[in-house]
Amino acid sequence: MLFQYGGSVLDMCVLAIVAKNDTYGYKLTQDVKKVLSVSESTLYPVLRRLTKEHLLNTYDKSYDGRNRRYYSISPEGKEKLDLFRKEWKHYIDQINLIVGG
Amino acid sequence: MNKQQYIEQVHFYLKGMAPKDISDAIVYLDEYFEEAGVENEQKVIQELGTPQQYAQTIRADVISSSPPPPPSQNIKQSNKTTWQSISILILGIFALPIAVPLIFVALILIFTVLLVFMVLVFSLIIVLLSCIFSFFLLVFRFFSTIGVDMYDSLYLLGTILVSCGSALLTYYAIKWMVRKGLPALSHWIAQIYQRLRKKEVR
Repeated sequence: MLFQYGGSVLDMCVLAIVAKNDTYGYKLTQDVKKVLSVSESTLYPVLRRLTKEHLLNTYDKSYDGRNRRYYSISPEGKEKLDLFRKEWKHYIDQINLIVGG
Repeated sequence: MNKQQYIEQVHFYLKGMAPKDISDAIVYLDEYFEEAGVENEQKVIQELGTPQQYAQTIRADVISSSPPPPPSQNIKQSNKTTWQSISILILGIFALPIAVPLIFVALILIFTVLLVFMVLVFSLIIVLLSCIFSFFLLVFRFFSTIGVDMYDSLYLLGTILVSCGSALLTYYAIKWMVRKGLPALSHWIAQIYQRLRKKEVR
């Protein structure tokens, strides 16, 4: 992967994944890693920040005798994701104007 | 390193953060290892990086996302530091009767050593000059007595050689003192100065 993914792109991807299905740290990391080249350690800070900003909610659920912390999107998170999508489309259009394709 | 050691080390490097932040991070990490499975333990450790690096990413994010501390805390802290500096000042004033004579003694010591060194070099230069002077004088005397008195000229020849040798010796002594002694002396003085400063700072 040629491009570096800074804070907001990663935030948007995590919000989009969680919006589809509630998920937990390990699965989320694997899902993001399939598409973007991020290191395994980068997802925790993102999840933590999004939770602190109340864009994500967490709940614990036991699975196979151990605990899993699930992340779900909050109403504010959905709003933020919509905003992200709009901005992203605009951004892509602008970049395409320069790069063409 | 196994999972347990890894988590313990991350825990160590997170010290100083809010307990809730630490426990959240540890819970997440523990769960992550569990999900990856025991067979992938080493792989996960490798991908997460060293415990220090991992802790660093969490720390960096917490610092950037946490709001600045309330101002009341800041004032308290600055009060503490001014109080500290005042107490250090008072301590310094009380220490003055001891510190001033001590510094004075050190200065006198340095001055004396410098003086001794200079006097030594100066006297050696005088010896060198006198040796050179007497050498020429003796040579002149030697040529004027040659053929007149054999014992006299032999004696003079001996003293010429002695003055020649002592001139060379003193020349090398001066050279050695200036080349080696001077840098050593300045180094020594610098050391003493630094030690004094360190003590004052303490």
